[in-house]
Amino acid sequence: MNGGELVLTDIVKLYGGGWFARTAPVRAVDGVSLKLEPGKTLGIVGESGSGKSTLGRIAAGIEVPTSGHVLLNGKPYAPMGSAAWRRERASIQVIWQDPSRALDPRMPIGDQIEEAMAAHHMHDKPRRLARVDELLELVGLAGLGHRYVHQLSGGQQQRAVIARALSLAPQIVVCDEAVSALDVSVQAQIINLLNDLKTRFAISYLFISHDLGVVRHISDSVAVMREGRIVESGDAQAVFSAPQHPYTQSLLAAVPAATPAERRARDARKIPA
Amino acid sequence: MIATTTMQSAGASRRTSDEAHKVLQIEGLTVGTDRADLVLDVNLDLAAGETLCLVGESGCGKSQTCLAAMGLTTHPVRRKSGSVRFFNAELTELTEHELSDIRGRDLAMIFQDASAALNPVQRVGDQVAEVLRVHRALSGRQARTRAVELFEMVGIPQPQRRVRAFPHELSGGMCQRVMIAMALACRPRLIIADEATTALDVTTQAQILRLLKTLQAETGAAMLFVTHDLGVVAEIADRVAVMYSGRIVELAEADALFTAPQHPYTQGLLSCRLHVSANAPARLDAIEGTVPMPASRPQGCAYRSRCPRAGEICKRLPALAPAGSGQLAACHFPGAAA
Repeated sequence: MNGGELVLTDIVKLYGGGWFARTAPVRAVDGVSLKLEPGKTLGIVGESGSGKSTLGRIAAGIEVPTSGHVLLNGKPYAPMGSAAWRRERASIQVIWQDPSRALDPRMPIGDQIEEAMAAHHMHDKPRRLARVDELLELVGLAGLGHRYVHQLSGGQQQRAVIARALSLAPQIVVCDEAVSALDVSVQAQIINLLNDLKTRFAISYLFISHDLGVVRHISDSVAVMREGRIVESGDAQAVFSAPQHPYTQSLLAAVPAATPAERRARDARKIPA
Repeated sequence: MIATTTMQSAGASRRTSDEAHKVLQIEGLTVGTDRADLVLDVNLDLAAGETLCLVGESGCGKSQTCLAAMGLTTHPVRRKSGSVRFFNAELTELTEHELSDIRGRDLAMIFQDASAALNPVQRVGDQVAEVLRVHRALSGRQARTRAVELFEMVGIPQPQRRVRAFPHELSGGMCQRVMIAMALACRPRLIIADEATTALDVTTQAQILRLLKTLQAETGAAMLFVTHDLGVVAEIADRVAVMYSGRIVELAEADALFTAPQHPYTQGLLSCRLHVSANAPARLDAIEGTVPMPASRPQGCAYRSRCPRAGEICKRLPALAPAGSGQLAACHFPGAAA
């Protein structure tokens, strides 16, 4: 596996509106350009309704932009629904927020991982089954392939989703709030896992989240979205330690303090101002 | 009441020795189904004007503690033992009718998902007014006028117009404000907020937390705030109770909890969280393993299967005992991480 390069240029996505509609269309994504470098993590942050999930779907090729281009390793995606498009799906995978809905409740997780490879005609059956065991071990679920979704905890379910995504040897993984629903202790385990996999397989991540702490930790670079536009982007450390745009500043200022002492220090600063 | 005496010796000046000043006293509360206990022997107390945060991961019993305190457990979950005193009333002995008289008036609850808690086919202003008509016996007109005032108080712009809105016409933050207006309508003595800001964006969350604090300062209400977010705890808590697998494992003043956590679980939670203001180590100190299911909780300390300090003695249940600087921890090996 090698990390792919993803370039988005002037992406616009409109919903609704049209000739006979009385309301103007919603500009969910409004002229976004960004570049995901091979083997790097690009964090997208923003509040609900900022268009970050729509952007993720466009980047993954499962939503067609109204205008603009998406290039994966210099090539545009094939028309959605075509055979070529289906073949492309293997190289770009998505991990959603709720793993219990991303998995089939009536199929053991091992079979689901095998099915993903079978759908893409990868390997022969014995090799696929061996691969399932390898992948389960890789994500820390060794020996649990026969389990059904309801027999796994939230963190284990998300590991199964990650194993299934990895089975197709993707170049790019879009993580849309992939750790947001998990408890803190489990969240840390999954973040460690995602980082280990990135180092090992040079995967590029497009990491979408509203949790600024998580994005700061996991991203190499970051883009801050608001109302469909990117208001600030750059090196993650730089953006979070010295935000330039007023919106980024207000977003960071709204994050709860780390400790009560820090809260008091912040409130003391605020009052004289 | 080990909890009360020790916390007082810690020098919490706002707390008095007079038991009558306690707004809420939960003693030996056990909640569960026929198969498993979800909350085990929980002791908590709250003074007027105080905010106690109940922290823990999903399934640790923090919400069930609140529901049981209000007599809102639903089949098959039920309160198995324990007492819940609200001022001088023993809530567990009241009839449903007497309870519903108190709930909504002296005792208010704010839930996580405001848009689900509100009636989708009734105007939000009428929903707030209904509380006042039932508990305060106001006329329809008086109640509606008061609803507008309440909307203004919780910072809803254009309150005159917004009282006529339906829940789906309002954003998540606005719905949460409506819930808060409803909860505060009768100036409750105790507010129980269950993940009240979890579903909100950070900027809205900051506004709601500030709002709750201001209103609490004005009314002197006690607040029991359930959350899994330690950042929210840092914002509003006076004291914190950390729950793990149905039990309180650490009870501390907010500052002590953050500066000198005594229980290894609290330490684990604090060390693996990520905050925007600081860099975390490249590899996080994740707590390995998962929370045990209530039905298969290990004997003794429930945390021992994940605990780096666990020893033979941990098969015996540790009592919540004084540790560190005035807090209580349920651990055989309390103290700073080795």
